[in-house]
Parts: sequence; structure tokens; C-alpha cells
Amino acid sequence: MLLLIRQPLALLGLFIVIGYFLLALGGPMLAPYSPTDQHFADTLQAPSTRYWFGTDQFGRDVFSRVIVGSQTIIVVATFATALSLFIGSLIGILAGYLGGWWDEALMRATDVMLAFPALILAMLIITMLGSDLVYLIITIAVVFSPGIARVIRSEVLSIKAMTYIKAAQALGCSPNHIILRHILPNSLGVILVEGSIYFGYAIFAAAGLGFLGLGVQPPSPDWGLQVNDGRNFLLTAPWVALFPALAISSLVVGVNLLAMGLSQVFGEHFVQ
Amino acid sequence: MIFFLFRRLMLGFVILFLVSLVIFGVTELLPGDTATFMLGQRATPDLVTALRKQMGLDRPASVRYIEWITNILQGDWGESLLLKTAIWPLLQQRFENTLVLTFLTILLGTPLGIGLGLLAGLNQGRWLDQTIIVFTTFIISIPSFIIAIFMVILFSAYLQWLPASSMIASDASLGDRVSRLILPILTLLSGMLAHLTRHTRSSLLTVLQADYLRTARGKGLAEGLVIFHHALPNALLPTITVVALNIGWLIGGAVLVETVFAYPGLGQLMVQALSSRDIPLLQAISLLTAASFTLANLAADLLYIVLNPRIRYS
Repeated sequence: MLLLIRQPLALLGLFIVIGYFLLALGGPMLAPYSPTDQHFADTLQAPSTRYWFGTDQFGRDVFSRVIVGSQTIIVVATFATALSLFIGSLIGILAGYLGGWWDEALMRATDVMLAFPALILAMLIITMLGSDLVYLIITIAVVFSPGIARVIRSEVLSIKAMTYIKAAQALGCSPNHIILRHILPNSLGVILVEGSIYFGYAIFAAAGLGFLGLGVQPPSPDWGLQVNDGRNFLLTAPWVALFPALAISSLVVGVNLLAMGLSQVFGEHFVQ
Repeated sequence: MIFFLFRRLMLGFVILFLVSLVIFGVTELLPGDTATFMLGQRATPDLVTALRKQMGLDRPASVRYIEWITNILQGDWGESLLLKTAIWPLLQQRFENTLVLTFLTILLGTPLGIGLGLLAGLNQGRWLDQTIIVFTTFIISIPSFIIAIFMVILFSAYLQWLPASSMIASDASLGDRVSRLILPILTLLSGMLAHLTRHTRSSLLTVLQADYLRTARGKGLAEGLVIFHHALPNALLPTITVVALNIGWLIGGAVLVETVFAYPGLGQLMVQALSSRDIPLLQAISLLTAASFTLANLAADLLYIVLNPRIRYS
């Protein structure tokens, strides 16, 4: 954490991310109006002192909807990332440490998952499961875990070759002990970096699926859904789509700046 | 070498086979059921059972899978539930449209992305490099469908230069067709460009530190010769993979961008199939995109081997 302070851009990213988390925590308390209240006298109003971000086709306050909508995306992205890190690390560590037949089977399974464009696979799964917050989280986690598993596996392979692992094995430590006490703590850096990268991807996925109507169902506020609502008024009332679009972009910019900083701290080569 | 190519090709087929199993498994075995979806509000247990029997859905999944896959291998992609027409002609036309978009984006994006990446890498640390890095970081951080929205607001609503919709009438003039393609291509291009620039830059920076470059400079070669003859061929090898990944991404991942612009491509068809729960159509599109994705990766691997004289698999 201390090292992050030396990187102004990463620090900026951290502030943006913390800002949005606070916004999500505050939620309805910070919003001037209820996000679902319809003001029929004021439909599609341009931004003004009364409605800072204007109103949508039902006269709902876009500013309030952007604030409360942060809850959905933050909750989905956070839990989906945590779950995919858990599944991905489990697969990666098992494949990397056990090797042999386990490695071959698990890696071919990730090959198959990665043969799909992520969004297509997510669309397929969520359509079959049905639109629900929990299913959305599971779907995103399932789609992203193979990619994470690959990275963790290669990290585990390099740790496994270290002398201290050989020493622990020679001392007769059980595989459980070696994995939990030696492999896992030494992979935490990589897991953290992957987590920050995939948090950005999860926001992409949640926003995209929401945009397609596969996320939270209306009238609940959701940034992706709001952008889709505003799509019909892009030429006449661009603010309906513009502000949730800016919210999504700025959140991911923050996450990626933070991820770049973290990967520099942990000596990872950040290409994307 | 031949043996390796053969093995890689075989692995590709095995993955495709497993992919088809996953698609079938996901659409058939999860809670949603085609007959229930089709009947919608009218679904009663009796009606569902009758319809399942009529559609042959009461047979075991393994039998239905074999029937499905052998039909596809013989060119019969089945019938769409919603449109009541054969899937293949529909798929073919949409696939062509998506390929047009993909091809033009790759054609424009590859030289531009490599050029920008080299420009940044050769000027490492200077303002040009910094500008390119900051700019690409922003582009990478914005989902493509959001970029599409920004494009429409800027070029269609504010400047009024270009049409917001890419729905192309069959009697449209060439100029009209081209003007409707500009915004979707610009959108897809920006994302691809940012990734390719980043990769080219970082791969050039890695190569620039290699010993053989020091040797080349040490024996007194001109700097231009060092860069173009020694650094570039090696730096550009990994970008082949990035371009191939982008082809796959453009075919499968352009779903959202096609939706924003109402472009009649494969992605838009998939969204329609989703909203109407058209399972056979959904399976067909998923299989086609996954197959294209796998083929693009396979092509990249093979090209990489052919172009890289250091890899000689025996």
C-alpha cells in the first residue's frame, strides 16, 4: 500500500474506486429524489439546477438513478470478482501443484471455456438461468475463472520449483500444509493483481449484460440498463445515456489505473 | 514440424467438439426448457409434455446431441423457432455482414496499431509515448458499447455528420452504405487500436533490450538497419496473436456495438434469439462464433510457427 502512494496515477485510481464504493454505500441517502419516482410533468428534461443530470422518458431523475445504480454494479462486480478469484485460484493451484493427469484435465477444460468469446458464453448461461442478481454474479464468475486459473497455475508452477518447497516436501509436510502455508501466501500478490484486472472486466460484463436487459430488471436503476433506455433518445435527449455511460467509464478508468499501479508494485508485467 | 502442425490441428478439432458439447449441455440441461419457453403463459404440464413429445425433446439428451451435431456437419443447421425458417441462410447473411465489419476493422487497425506502438516504443519516456499511453489506457477502460454511445452523441447528435443507425436498406447507394459503416468501424477500431498499440510497444521494448541488438549496434550497423532488420521482425511476432485474438473478439464480441447501431450482424441476431428464447438459433450462433474464435486462434498459432524460424518442432 505504501508503494502505491509513490504513483500519483494509481492513487487517483484508488480515490475514484473508493469514491464509487462510498457512493454505493450511501445509495438512496445521497440521492435528491427516489430513483424510481416518475415526474410525468418533467419527462426528458435537459440538465438543470433542479435535475442535475436531466430526466428520462418517465421523468425519473437521472442523477439519482446514477447514484443508486452504483449499488448494483459495485455489488455484482465485487462478488463476481471474489467468486471467480476463489474458483480460479482453486483450479490454478490444484492443476499447478498436483500436475500430471489433474493438470491436463483442468487445463483442457479451461481451453474449452476460453474458446468462447466471454460475452457470448455469459449471454448463453444467463439466458438459461434467468435474470437475477445472484445468477448474474455466478455467470460472470464462471466465465472469468478459467483465465484467472491459467495465470495462477503458471505462478504456482514457478513457486513449486523453489528450494523452500523442496525443503518442505523433504521435511514430510502434507500437500495441504504446503499449499496453504507456502504456495497460497506466495501467490497472493498475483491473485491481488488478477483481482484488480478482473474487477474491471467484471464491471464491463455487468454493464454489458445490463445493457442487453439480462441484468437487473426495471424499474431498478442499473447503469447498463439506463444506457440502453437512453439509446432511443440519443439524438434528442443524449443526457439519459451520457451520464450512466460516463459513470461506467470513469469507474473502469479508476479500476484500471489502480490495477496498473498494483501490478507495478508486485512486479507484474502489465500489458493490457 | 508436420507432426506438430497435425497435433495442433487435431487439438483444435477436439476443442471444437467439446465446445459443441458445452453449448448443447448449457442450453439443454439447465433449468430453462424449450417447450416451456415456446408455450409461455399457456404452459400447462400436459401441453408441455405433448409439445416435448412432438418436438422429440422427450428422447435422451445424448441421442438429441448426436442428431444435432450430425445434421450440422451435413449442413443442416435446423429451423428457427421464432422465424420458422431454416437457420443457415439467415446465419450466412448475418455472418457476412459481421465479417465485413471485422475485415475492415482489422485492415485499418493492424497497420495503425503497429505504427502507433512502434512510435511510442521508439520514443520511450518522452511526451509522445506518455500521450499514447494515457490515451490508450482511457480507451481500454471504456466498454465498446459505451464508446459507440459517445460516438453517436458526438458525430450524430452534436455535429450531425453521420447517421446514428447502421440499418442498411437493400436499395441504398454506395455512399449511404459507406457512411453507415463509419461509426461502427470507428468504434471497433478504437478498442482494437488501443490493445494492439500497447502490445506492440511492450514487445518492442522487450526486444530493444536483447543482447543481439547490442551486438548489432556494437558491430557498427546504422540505427535504422538495427531497428528495421533486427528489432522489428522479432517485436512483431507476438502481435500476430493479438491480431488473431481481435478477429475472434470482433466476430463474437461485437454483439453490443452491433446492437447500438442496429447493424444487421451476427451479434444483433443473437440478441434477437436471446429475447425470443429461440434455442436452436442460439445454439447455432454460439457454435458459429466459437468455431470462428477457435479457428482464428489456430491460424495465429500456425502463422506464428511458420514465421518464427526459431521454433522448429520435430
